[in-house]
Amino acid sequence: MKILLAAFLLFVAAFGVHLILWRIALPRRQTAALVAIFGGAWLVFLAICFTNGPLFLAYSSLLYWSAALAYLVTYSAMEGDSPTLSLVRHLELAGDDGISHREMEAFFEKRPFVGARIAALVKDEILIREESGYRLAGGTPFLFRIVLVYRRVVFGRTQFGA
Amino acid sequence: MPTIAPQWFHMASAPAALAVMVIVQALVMRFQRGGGLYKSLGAGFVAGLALLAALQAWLLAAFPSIADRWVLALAVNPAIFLLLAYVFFNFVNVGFVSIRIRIFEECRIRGGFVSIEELGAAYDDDLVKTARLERLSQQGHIVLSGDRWRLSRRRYIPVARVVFGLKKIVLRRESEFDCP
Repeated sequence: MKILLAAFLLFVAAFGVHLILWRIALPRRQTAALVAIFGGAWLVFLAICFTNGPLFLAYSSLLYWSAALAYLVTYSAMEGDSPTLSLVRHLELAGDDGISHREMEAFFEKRPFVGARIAALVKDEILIREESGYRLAGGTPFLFRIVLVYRRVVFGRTQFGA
Repeated sequence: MPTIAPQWFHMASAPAALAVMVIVQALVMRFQRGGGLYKSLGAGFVAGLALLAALQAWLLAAFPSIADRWVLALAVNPAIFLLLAYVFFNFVNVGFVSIRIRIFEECRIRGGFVSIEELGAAYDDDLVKTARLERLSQQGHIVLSGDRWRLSRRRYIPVARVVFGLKKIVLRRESEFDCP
């Protein structure tokens, strides 16, 4: 019970700090700031509870980081709109009548997903904007690397869906 | 020889179930040519969940003296597995549909530079629209009847409600395209 309670309280505390900071000002690199908040809260927890023994610390950390990672991946869908979820939301709000083909066109015209993702890549300093195009800023970011390696192992070749 | 506290076995059960989910998903995806991504994820999830249930039953029977064994077996371990399975699902899904990763890959395979024309030809908003509508239609989530697009399956609605609800609480807006 102690493990469940400790992980829950730790997650609530980190989430509270995140909410307060986001109300003050949105960080420029939101995902990195979130990782820092969840990591910082965890280090404080380890420092306060280190006398409770390795089993308690490891078990509650595993539960806490599982929840923190789940929130981080959910946040990536919150930070930038998902075309699929946005469309589902739009059609749900339209009710049983749905929307016409023209309204569907207008929905996508109002949401330039590709342009927004390019802007995000430039903001995160992954791409550099040049006069005639975009240049990679440096190496492959860690998350991109593990996704691409996984794709190669599982799919055996590069294959994307839009 | 030092003995291992039985709680460590409890702690290892959810990561072990996740490992089985990852391996089964990869094997199903790799060997079912032309098969669906989501079917492979479903197969992996069921395999992981089955192992988790079997391990919890065994742990409860093998170590009856652990004080919190019911909480660990019925709440903590299933919670860890479900959270990590959700993370894995999103990891796989991102690799498949993420626009950011696609743009990054377009740039990388062209030697680190992609012109605006090349990027537009390979990947633009029209392609995103066409591909999403096709995929969602093929999977039965939306349907076009006459001139009207409608939702035909409600599976994504709870996910959309949670994400948009959280957006309102955390970011105080529903869409990145809303005016600030």
